[in-house]
Amino acid sequence: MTHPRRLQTTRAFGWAVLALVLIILAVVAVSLVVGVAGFAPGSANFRLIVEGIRLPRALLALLIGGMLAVSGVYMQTLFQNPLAEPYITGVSAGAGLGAVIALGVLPLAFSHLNLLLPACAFAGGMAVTLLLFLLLRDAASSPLKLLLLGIALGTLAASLMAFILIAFPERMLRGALFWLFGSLAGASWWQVGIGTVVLVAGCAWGLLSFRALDALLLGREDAHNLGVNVPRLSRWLLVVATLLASVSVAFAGIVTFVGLVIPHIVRILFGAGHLKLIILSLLCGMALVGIVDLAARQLMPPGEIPLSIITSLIGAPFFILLLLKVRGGGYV
Amino acid sequence: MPRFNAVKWFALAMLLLATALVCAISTAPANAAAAAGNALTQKQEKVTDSLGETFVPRDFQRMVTLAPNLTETVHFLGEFDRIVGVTSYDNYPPEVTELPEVGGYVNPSVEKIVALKPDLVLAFRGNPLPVINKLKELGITVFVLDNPSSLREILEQIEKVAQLIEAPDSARDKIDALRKGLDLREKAIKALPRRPRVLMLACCLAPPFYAAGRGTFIDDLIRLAGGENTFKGKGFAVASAEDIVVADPQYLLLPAPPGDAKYRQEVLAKLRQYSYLAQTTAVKKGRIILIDEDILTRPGPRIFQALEILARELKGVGV
Repeated sequence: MTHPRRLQTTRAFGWAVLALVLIILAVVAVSLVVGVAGFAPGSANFRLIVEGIRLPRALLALLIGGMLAVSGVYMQTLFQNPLAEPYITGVSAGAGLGAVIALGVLPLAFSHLNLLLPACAFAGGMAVTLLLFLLLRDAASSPLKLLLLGIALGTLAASLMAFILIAFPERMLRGALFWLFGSLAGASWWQVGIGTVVLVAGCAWGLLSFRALDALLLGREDAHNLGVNVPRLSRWLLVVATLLASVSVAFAGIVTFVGLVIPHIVRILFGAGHLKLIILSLLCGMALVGIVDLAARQLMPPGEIPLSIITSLIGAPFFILLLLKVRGGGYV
Repeated sequence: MPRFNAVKWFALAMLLLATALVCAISTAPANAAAAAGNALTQKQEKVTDSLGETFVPRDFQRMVTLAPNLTETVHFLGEFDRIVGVTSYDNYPPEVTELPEVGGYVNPSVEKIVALKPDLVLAFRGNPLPVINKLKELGITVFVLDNPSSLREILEQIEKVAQLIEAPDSARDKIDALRKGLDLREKAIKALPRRPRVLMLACCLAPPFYAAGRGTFIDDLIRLAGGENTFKGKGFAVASAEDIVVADPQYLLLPAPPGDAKYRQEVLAKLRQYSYLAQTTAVKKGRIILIDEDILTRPGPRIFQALEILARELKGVGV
């Protein structure tokens, strides 16, 4: 795939960053103003609705988008494969499984321990990533193999999840749909706090090691020859990518395709260099999920539409286009 | 130095975002949950919900109900006018359509609920836990009911709600009447020489056919009406063709859309398309018991109407 060269300049990058930030700020502004409860400053629970519900939700939407997109960037680099993404590689399903185990199997009193959910989601996501990594380490990681292994592990996790839902119907029932299709209905300030820390840490790490990540794109051997400690870098990539994806699943359930679509749009337009890739993917992801959650709240009021339905509507056609364009499994 | 420039641009943008974020967080409401009424008085008898939390009964005046059976429960207790919001699935009592909707029970809008300024949200275990937690965090009292597995449990839930919202004595009398009815039924069915075999299919237009099995309130309903549930699976599960053939139900119990006169014929025609259903005694003899789906499938007070209907239909069966 060729890159439109004129977008690869620093000036274009600058404008893109600025435009995205403005879009994000606009999305947040709109999120604060619109909603089924209307906008009536001065009404009794105006502050509660805007500051207790809309603002944390809008901010969490941005954080989820950023986490998924950056996680997608890292996974694609780690597996040296354009198809890697938290959803496709089964990490999201693993994290969802962890969350459902926390909800369904652990004693009820624990469901009030808000931190336990993200922790279990992280453990589930980590387990799947570790398995993928172990299974792929010896083999020359071909895109097809990764894709199939990811699908296999994802399906395995999803079926275990379904089994738990059936085995503990009295606890889960339809409430668990939340995990399977993604929703920000429970967004709250402590989640925004944790999400901010995780996202900032995840991005900072990538930005500090962008040269090593760029070297990895040349292949493991070449990266090694350039002085990169490839096993160490890979391990970090794994941990950071899983952390980002798992925390997002823990807070918002499984939101599909953001991790795949965003890095690709950015790479096609602005090239594969990690400095720009991470920054722009972060901002694009934020903007996309911000807009998607706005749609989730507003399209069918007062009911809400699960996020993944909307992201997949956008993501699936893009994915199909991508599959048709990637020839021979080469990195885009 | 293109890279330095990129970093500069990014730093600028991040500064902007971070400023916005800090502004946002600093104006966040001080822990709303802490402000929520924790003032438990010792005098009154507390009511425990299915999450194990205790509540002090009160004369709640602005209730939001997050499932139709909960709305019907409050209506049964004679306190319908205290409800200020319901789900979009609610359709009983008819006046319910005039109340604001807060979304479906799987995807209610937190914002809409809060905007209604409820002093009590009645929820059940099928509502998403994150939504329940969020409401609590915002300082709203949320009472979470269980998914009942028998008519007696449904009665207990009605009683719990009556206690929680301090329903009038007339409501207690109605509950007592239901309980007496249940006790009488228990006695009456003990004396039955044989019980007609009944299979309840949750939906009946195409396979897989979901049937009500052990541990469902429908299973208990069939038992109390004097029947024997032929489906021995756990919960609502798929009844296989073999299951149906072996059990050979004498009656099929089906939820029906209310007020559809042609439905019986349509259903029979559909069921006859599947040989394993067509050869059951129920379908051969046309013994299809149709009960308004809202009455049959909602674990609320109207389930006792379903019990009367089913008991009447099963009485005097040629067993």
